[in-house]
Amino acid sequence: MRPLTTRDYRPVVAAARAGDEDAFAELYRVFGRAVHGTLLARLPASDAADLVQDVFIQAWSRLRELRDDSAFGAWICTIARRQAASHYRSRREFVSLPANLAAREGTHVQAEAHAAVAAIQDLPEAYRETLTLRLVEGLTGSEIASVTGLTPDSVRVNLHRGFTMLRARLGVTS
Amino acid sequence: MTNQRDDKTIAYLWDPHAGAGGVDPALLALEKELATLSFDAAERPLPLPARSRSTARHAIRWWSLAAAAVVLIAASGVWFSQWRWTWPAGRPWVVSSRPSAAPAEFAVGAPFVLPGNESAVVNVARIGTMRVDGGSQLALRSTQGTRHRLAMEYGRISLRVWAPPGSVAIQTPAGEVIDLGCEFDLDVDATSARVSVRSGWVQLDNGIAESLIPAGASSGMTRNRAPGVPVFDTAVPQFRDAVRRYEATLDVAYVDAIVTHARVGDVLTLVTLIARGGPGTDRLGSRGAELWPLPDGVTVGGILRGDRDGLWRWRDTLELPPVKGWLRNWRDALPAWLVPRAAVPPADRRR
Repeated sequence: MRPLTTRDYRPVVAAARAGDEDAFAELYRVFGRAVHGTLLARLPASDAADLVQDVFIQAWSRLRELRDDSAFGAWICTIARRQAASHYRSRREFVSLPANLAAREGTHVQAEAHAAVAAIQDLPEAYRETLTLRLVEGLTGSEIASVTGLTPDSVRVNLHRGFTMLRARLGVTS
Repeated sequence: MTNQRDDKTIAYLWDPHAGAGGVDPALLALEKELATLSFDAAERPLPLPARSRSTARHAIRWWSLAAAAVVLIAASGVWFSQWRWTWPAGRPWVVSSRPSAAPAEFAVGAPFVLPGNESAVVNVARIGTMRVDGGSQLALRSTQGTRHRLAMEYGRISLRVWAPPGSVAIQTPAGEVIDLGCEFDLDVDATSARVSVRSGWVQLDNGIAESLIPAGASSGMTRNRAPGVPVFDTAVPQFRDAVRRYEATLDVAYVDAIVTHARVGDVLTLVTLIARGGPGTDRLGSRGAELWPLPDGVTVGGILRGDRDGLWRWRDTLELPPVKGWLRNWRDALPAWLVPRAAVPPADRRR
């Protein structure tokens, strides 16, 4: 795992803006999880994985619009949210597939994972992104705050309440 | 969950690196399942599009093209201005539209006589146009650069010019009519000249005095007395008649009608009459001050005692366009069919 908040990525962002593809590849490696988590909170897992690259390619062409290099994480996650909304609208006319479809093709663990993601996506909006970033991508509370723009206190509350609600939805007992 | 497990679970939720001891097993199990869906950049290399590298070059190219376009437009504007405001000495003006009986060109020294009811349109060098109505006679006395002088014996013309003040002047039997960057109609007969101004200003000068007529106003002059003061076309007929009779006779009896029928839009007329002097100016001043406030430090009494500076300061508050502000009348540079004549003169908006 590459920590998002313990290193200053501003020089990397500046180099990427100047056209350094290696620098942008590093941003992709570091912030890819945050973008994926943002998408997965809103879209099916297969679509989310495919869209990560689209989001970064869009960011690559629009990097000049970024005013504050230290806000790259929050900026690219905003692009991801818009991309997810646009993708959702364009896919609306298709019939939704059952959430357990992956179970027929993948392992039992993956089937459980898809079911858990579906349960997270059923939670109130405030908890979806926070829980996905934490439980799927393994981001810390501080990292989630930096890419969502929420305060650390809000992230802490969302994690706690969201997890409590998710346990209940999944029927997990202590 | 016990309180202790709650605390550890909350701490673990905030930071998974804090250690999983004592954490709710359901959370750990869920985390393990969901981790199978996490994103691994190594599995999906990012194919950056080749065109991205040239984005900066595209931007530079577009900026260069935009800068070149701006320079080209500016250079064209300068060239066009130079071309527009220069005219070879003595070159005849082009008659762009004419009845068959009219001369084909408007040459220096040759009388331009237009009989009948049809009108002709003459290009005023390159700075404007002049419509000459039937029953008119005029002549081009000199033409060069931005200085063009005409003489008009009788008839009616409509002149539309966008050029520095004084570019065109027309000598009439009653005196000289000088354009100050404007559009106006001029009626001339053996003893008088009358102007109705549509944009900018026109100066009347017959050697006795001069009068400046703004857009929306009319005036006239004869050879034997000062040119008339401007009266806006929106003034009531009683006011107009009283002013003209007062100018002709200086009879104080007409002051009553002037004061009675004056409105806010007529204050320029009152100010100009006061500047000319004459009987009843105290009442004209009082009525003007009622209609349009005097500037601080200026009084009617002071003006009547000769405070010219105060009088001009009062006039300058009337929201009239500056006399030398011909550049503002850029619409007069466009063809008349493209920019219709102003129906409401600016001064009338104060009513």
